[in-house]
Amino acid sequence: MIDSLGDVLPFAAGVALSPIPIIGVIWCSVPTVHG
Amino acid sequence: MTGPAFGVAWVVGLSTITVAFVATMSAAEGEGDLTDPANAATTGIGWAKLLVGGAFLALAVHKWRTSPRDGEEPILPAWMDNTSDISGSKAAGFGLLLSAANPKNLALVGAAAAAIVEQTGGATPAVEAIVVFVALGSLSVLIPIAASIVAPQRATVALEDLRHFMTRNNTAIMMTVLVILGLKMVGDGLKIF
Repeated sequence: MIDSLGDVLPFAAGVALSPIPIIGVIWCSVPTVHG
Repeated sequence: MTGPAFGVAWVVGLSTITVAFVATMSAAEGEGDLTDPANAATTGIGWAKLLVGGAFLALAVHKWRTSPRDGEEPILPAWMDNTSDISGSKAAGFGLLLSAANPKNLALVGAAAAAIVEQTGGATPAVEAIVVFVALGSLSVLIPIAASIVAPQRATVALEDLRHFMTRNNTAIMMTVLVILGLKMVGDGLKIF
């Protein structure tokens, strides 16, 4: 379990650090972004 | 409710493809020990890592060559120009597409699934690893949603700043992520030799 977590961490970070989904979710969450 | 719809769809999409990849690779693992370098499945996964790692590095070079020059506006996906009337179902659709139909995510989930199956053999600990992977991979999407619900006034300014930062530095962030993960995957893939 611990070993596999260490191995998947970089890939989870790669998924999380994608700018387009972050921009997209802010676009959907903040009313002022899309007026 | 568009933010939560996006978030729920993102988590569902990411969970679905992660479970599918782990299940598929666990079935392959059933045919032999993935820690054995002589195993055909191990060699296949090693070659897949080399190919995906090489593709990430090539994509990083492509991003660098096509990045906006000084003074140029970054180009965002066209759907972001048409969100003035965004509905919950549309937001959910975007969340699902960006998590489960995104080639970069598919490659990253495939690599993570290979690591999970190699370490756990697809048994019960794999479920825990999948949950942790999906939770960590969803943090950057879930935190803005939580912030916009808990403190909408204060979060608006911070999220707007974050969005501008991500828009301006989209290419640089993606290049950095692709280079680091590309090198890691090529390094992991070379272990088959």
